[in-house]
Amino acid sequence: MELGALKQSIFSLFGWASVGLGLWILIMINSWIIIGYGAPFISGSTIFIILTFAFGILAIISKSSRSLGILGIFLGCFLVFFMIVIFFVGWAIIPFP
Amino acid sequence: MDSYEQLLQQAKDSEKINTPSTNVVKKAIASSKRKLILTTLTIALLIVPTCYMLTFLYYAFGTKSTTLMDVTSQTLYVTDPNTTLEELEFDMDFSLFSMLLSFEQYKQIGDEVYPIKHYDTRFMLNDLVEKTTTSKLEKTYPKYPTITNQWLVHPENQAEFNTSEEWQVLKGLPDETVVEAYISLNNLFTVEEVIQEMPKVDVTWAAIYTGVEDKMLSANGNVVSPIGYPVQQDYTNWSPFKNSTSHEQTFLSILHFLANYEDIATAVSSHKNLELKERISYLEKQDMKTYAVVITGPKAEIEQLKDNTMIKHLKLGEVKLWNWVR
Repeated sequence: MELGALKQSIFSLFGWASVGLGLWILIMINSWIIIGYGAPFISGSTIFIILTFAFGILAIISKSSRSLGILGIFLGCFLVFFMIVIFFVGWAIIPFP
Repeated sequence: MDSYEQLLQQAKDSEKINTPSTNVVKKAIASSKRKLILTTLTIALLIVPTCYMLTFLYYAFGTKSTTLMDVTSQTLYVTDPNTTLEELEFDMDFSLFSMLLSFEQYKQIGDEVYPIKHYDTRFMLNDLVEKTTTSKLEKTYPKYPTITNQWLVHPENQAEFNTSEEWQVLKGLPDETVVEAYISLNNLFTVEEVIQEMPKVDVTWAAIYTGVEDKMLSANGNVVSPIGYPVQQDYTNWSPFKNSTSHEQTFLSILHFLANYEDIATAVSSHKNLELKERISYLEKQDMKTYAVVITGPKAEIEQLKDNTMIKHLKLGEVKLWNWVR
């Protein structure tokens, strides 16, 4: 019984970590855009996105943390989509090296 | 106890069994609250990046950022006398639903090209909402154009400046200077005729007669300003006149291009109105002739043009120390 509760709390932790990381990157992107520096493309954000996905996938294993995991994976997908759009469309709209 | 009371008792008992404990209810409420907060926070944080993506998509597939840049640069080539732009000096920055375009404008004075103005333009989607210029010019072209305050004057129009005073100022300048001068002619000539007449100086820009310059008013009574094109071969990659076999044709094609974005072009330029359709229709029917040119060269060479019968007015532009190496 105690082992089950421990498992549940670990999976919840993964879920919260996934959502937390995703939201953290979103907060960073928001603040960079609002301040006016454009979207940040630091190498660190890739690691954060990978961790968001990894924790999200682990969190959906348990039923209790599934909703958190799904939200984490959704955030990860959005961030990947955002990066792709900004990177490739950015090439088209900024004709300078 | 009759059957009705029994049934009632049974219902009450089953209600007690099915009712969740207070702890379970509290947990469920707390969990719902957390989910609500999380969802609200997520949606709020998605708004700005989504709008930013939409901005990028608009400038890629809607009104392209490069189109706005072309409109801006080509407008300045044909509306600002004797000016050029450098490709790598363009700076683009995107924020929510807007694009900031900054660049440097140059002017040939003597044998060298000098930075003269810095432009900061902000487009809200495809609408120019802000234009700030920082000028390094010592003499600035009239900011609010009227029918008579132009420096390039049609022979049938009047000039607000005093030409003889301008010649006098030119005479007083040291011989070791190079000068930019706005020359208004006493008739309409082809650009080649003007170049042949002034072989010792550079004719940098020619104002082309488009049917409205004699009064500086369009058919519907709007004040217009001179438009024209750079005369000399332009080797800068950015220039629409690079590798141009006929500057006249390039000029006309620029006007056709700008006619599609006339509102933006008018806002970018220092002109009140461009009236491009009327002017294009005139140029398509008539030969291109110039009524005024911008020249640059050594002070002494320009001073020698005083007796040239082709010249009606002179207005001095920028003056720099000697850089003439020919």
